[in-house]
Amino acid sequence: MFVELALTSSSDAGDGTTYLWNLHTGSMLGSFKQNVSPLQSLALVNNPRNLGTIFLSAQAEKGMMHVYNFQKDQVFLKFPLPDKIVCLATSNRGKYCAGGTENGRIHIWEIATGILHRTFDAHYKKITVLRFSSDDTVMFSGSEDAVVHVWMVNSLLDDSQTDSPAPHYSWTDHTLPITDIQCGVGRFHGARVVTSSLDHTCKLWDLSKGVLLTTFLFPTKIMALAFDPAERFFLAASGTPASTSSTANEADYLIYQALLYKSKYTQQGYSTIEAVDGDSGLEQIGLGGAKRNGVRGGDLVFRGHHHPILRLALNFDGSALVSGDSKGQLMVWDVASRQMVREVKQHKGAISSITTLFQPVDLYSNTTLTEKPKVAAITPFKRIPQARMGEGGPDVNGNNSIADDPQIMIATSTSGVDESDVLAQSQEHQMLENVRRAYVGSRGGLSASSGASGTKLAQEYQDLQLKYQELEAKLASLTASGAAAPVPAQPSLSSSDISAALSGLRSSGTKRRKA
Amino acid sequence: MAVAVQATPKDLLDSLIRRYLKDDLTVIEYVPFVVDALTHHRLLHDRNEQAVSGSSTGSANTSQNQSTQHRIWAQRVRALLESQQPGARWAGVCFVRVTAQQSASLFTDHVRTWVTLLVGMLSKPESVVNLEAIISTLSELFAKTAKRPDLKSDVSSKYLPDFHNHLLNHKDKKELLPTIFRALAQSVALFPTTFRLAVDKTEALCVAYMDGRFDLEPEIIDAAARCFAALHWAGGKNPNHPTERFTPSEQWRGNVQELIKAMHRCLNVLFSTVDEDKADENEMAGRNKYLTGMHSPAADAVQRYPQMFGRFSSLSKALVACLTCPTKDAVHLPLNNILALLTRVFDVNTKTPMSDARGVDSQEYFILISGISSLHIASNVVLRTLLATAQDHLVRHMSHLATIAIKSIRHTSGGAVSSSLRTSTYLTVESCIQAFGIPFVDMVQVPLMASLLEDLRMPSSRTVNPLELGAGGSNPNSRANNHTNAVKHKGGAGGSGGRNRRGGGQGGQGTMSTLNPLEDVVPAPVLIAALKVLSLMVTTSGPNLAPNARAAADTLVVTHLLNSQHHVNPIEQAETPFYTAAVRAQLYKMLVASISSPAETQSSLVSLSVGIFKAGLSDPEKHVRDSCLMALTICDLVMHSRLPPMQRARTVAPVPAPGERAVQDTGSALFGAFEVSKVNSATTADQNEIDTDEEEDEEDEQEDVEMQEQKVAPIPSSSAYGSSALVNEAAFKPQEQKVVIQSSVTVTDLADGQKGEKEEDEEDEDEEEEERIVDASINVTKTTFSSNTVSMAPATARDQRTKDVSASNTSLPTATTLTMTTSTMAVTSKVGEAGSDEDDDIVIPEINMEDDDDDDDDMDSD
Repeated sequence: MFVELALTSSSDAGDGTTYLWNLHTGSMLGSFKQNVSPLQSLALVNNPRNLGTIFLSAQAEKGMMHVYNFQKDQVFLKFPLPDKIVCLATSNRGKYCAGGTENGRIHIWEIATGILHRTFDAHYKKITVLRFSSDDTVMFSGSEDAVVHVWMVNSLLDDSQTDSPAPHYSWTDHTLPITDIQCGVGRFHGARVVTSSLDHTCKLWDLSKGVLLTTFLFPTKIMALAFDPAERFFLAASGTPASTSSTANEADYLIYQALLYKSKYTQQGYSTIEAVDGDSGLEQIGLGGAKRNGVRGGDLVFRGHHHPILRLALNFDGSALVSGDSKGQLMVWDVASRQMVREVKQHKGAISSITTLFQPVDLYSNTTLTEKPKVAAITPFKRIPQARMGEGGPDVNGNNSIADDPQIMIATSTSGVDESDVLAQSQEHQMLENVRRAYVGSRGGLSASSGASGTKLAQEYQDLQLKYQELEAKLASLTASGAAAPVPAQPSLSSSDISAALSGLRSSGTKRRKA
Repeated sequence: MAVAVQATPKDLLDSLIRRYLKDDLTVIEYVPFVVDALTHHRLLHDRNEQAVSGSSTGSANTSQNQSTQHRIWAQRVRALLESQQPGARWAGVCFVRVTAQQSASLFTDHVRTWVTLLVGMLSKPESVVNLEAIISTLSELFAKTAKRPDLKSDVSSKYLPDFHNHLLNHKDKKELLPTIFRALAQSVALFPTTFRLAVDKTEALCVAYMDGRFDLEPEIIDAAARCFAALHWAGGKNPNHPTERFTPSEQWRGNVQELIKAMHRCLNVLFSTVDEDKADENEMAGRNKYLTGMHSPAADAVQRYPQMFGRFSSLSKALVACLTCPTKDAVHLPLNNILALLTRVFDVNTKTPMSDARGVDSQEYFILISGISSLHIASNVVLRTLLATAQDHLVRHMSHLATIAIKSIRHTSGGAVSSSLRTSTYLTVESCIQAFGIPFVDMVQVPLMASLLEDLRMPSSRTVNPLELGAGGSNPNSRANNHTNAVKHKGGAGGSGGRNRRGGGQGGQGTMSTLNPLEDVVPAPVLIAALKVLSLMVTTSGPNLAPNARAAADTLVVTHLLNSQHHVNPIEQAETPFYTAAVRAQLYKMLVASISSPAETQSSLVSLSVGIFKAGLSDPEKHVRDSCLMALTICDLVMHSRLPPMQRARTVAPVPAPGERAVQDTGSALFGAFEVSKVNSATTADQNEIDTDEEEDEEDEQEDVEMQEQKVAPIPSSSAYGSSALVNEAAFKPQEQKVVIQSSVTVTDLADGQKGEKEEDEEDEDEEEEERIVDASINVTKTTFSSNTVSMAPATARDQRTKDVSASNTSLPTATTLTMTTSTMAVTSKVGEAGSDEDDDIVIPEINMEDDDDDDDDMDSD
């Protein structure tokens, strides 16, 4: 059975601990010390191999980055950052990391090499959220200046572009600071994006055209979002109390479920299910629960928090929701019934991030693993951008230092060589192959057959001997100059070559004849 | 009374030993039979012993016999190994291999003896066949000891060095080389420490076969390259510190860099006649004594160039092998160095002018240009491998790679370039698109599309196309006509476009022209590669492609498909078949890509595609038929869009059919279910009441549904049949008759299948064949779509209320899809019935009830 875990951190300096706990039982599996990360500043680095998982956490007040792995509870790696990073995101394939600053600047690093690829001014105010699309083609940035920018990742990483990058889209429909962004599945031309803001709205966007599909209006400020994996609904957490709250002390902070498909009754008495998006319409969620446009159905809310909810996260299949509020209370909900199933009270201060994950390889205490898995490659992030390459691409003599080279694990079947299927069918290819074979055969045949070939063989032998002598002379000169490292006393290569060649000539002839 | 004789493994093994292994002279003839018998009956398998010994006390004797037999077998095998007859020795080696594969206990008992004997045989004169068998058997035996510490001192440590030495001594036997290289590569991976002694010689051997002097068989070079790549496992000496050693990952990086330098040295020789960024000789000096010690190129240009081309391609194979050789630790990939090398190669092409420096021999320049394609093909392979290995790390070089790609595309388009190079370029572009996605497509779109359309164009005999009549003549200029025509119809690649063209045909050239012999037909591999790239482009950035180009591509693909289905085409009468099975399959895939990524500005191809895919069901090749079937299912999904599985309360779970696991169960089995502590009391009570009622009725419900299914089934099939007939009539009039005439087995199958579906209730039992086919096709579809159907049934159920049932039926395209959807249909109609009544006053079938009540509950609870 796969164990689902949640990794939660707090932005409260008095807490400073990140917890890893089982989503289904609530039991604690680990805690990581000395981590005070601001909202959305903790990012798990996915890696496709069975490497030990790491997560990055930016320490806002200190301008430091703390790196943790699941094998020890202390900081695994610590390095200074060029700026105070207030929000952080890693690409889905775990290759790149983006950090946003208080004054609207974004930095992008390659995690394995630590190269700072680019630093640019993206917004006028503090960056509040950074997110990569599911295929890592684009990056979203949201800011307190109420704008969402969509950046093509390639243009940010492109070494040949020297000027400041321009966003692919700029979504300016929100009127107050952006709080969260979630991107759905699909490639660039199919994905949908939800953004939330303090202006009481969430907006659904189409990524391919960059157009607004629907605006969802809520009665409260929205602080966090969670997007269903099958994109049937999204969940929005409120940062202000609902109007139905009885007293100020027991104020209700709700999580709203906004359906992206809903049933409608037509005048003919039929009901139909249809998608709510499209045509930049307006949907009201949680406003009184009255019938709207002839649509029945009340508000779908998760009721239980009494403080502003700051983070939300759905589990792998979207059946469980984890929410965390400003007093450090965590709740696990069953999404289907909207019932709270568990409360976790470990944190002492405001929750700053929640990540759900499967139990990583590091934490399996099985006996099959003889040694702990190696931790994924990470190099301390550089503080100044890497010198850019010129127009013509990498320099021919560019003997780059080892630090600039990405560290990768090569798996068995990443071969890009698929000649066999297509190229092998090519007539020319086959013809070339045949000619080559015939050539080898004929040469062997000549040498093996008596008569004229004898002289040819002798000639070849002489040639090889000449080359051998040449090489020997070269070797002697090398040893004399002392430039070469230990040179074998006997130049075994060339002599063996000659014998190999000669025997090859003989045997290939016999083989061909047999064939 | 006859005694029933039953063959036990013991008897079988006994008779094998007695009858076939007794004579050293003849045993070689029976080896295949004996190995077959041993394998199929698992006569040497340990399980036989355990099973027998575990079953009863009385069988201890049998077990004893069995182990006796095994002992006899082992003795006999040993005797064969020591025989004077070479044939018997070969047989012995084969039997050792089988025995080691089958029985762990026999392996443990006898591996010492076997290895001693086999290693001894390696040092004696043996035939090549025997040596090959011995080497591969020994490799296998050593591989089995790698995880056995108990055998380390007796076997691996003792005999491995000898084994390696013997292997290296046999390097003169060219036929053995691939086997030797494989054995060495495996050895270094499994026993890196023991192998260190042999690393030097092995490296020398590998490099000797990569220097381009011998025109060797590619298998040997491949094996040498792989062996060279594997050598990094043993680490290496650190020249700066005599006592320290390089770790495997350091050694890997060193090897790769040495290879790159060696390739640069090749290029320095090759590119002496053109102006380019020469690599610095000192920089490229290199440290590897074997790579630097390769023979200096011949003085004569005639000899020098072929040798250098050969060396470059061998070294590139080694580089590819290094890039794909699995590593234990993370390695530093010298990305910039590799890219610099590739850039250098791609910067020189057939259009590069000769250097105007003094003393440049134009003849040498001509030789260089003649062989430049081989450099590009080799570099393309390296680039593809790099893309597959480094993935996202290459993103920052994307625009640089795009420039290279555009250059290659421009230089390889047109008939002047070999199909191999074009195919290779396309495959590289495909890898790039896979790695970088839409931004890359945006960069290369214009030249790539032009090149693709050029390769996909119909040969000049395009007038034969029934839909394209009158669009152009059989002259070499028709290419241009073709494009303009395609662009003209950009708005109507679908049905309307087809009509227009048909209309145009009446006034145009109605007669079929013959294939112009001068017109060259695009070779199938190029066509396949082009279609692959095109489908990937369409999938990656469907709506964002330039509408004109997209429409032209769609039209061409549809035209090709129609041509391949209607054998009225002189292309088909040419010497080599144009629409080979692979081409057809790829054409269908491209059409699928096109309909699944529709462009906003043009009418969809779906209406046209349904007919094409249906006709494709009668393709003679099975895998083409399969892909058509899949394509029809996709069409079905496009036409009847499904909703995602909707969130529903869990109070009532639909009862799964026997043997079926509900989706939610699977989910909770994997991740664990959440216990909901308190459920809204009022609703639960209500639900429970209904639940209890329902539980009684559930079985009846099931029956009802089944009955309804049967009733409903004929209706959609007949209507679908009708609609399909309509579609046929509209677009492909000659299709049905043609099918019957044209093909032999498959078509009749299909016709039977359809008939069988249509008259399902009559159930013609006697037609066994028909049943089999229908079943088979259902199974095929089921595997891919059953999960969808199961989970989506309720969603569809909701959806169906407003949907026109007959409309949804009409376009169900195949017999197979029909059967699949009928079950959904049954539920649907049931729900629809109930749903039309207003809510709560009746006992509602389960699916509907929970659905409707869900919202109400929430209102109440809120």
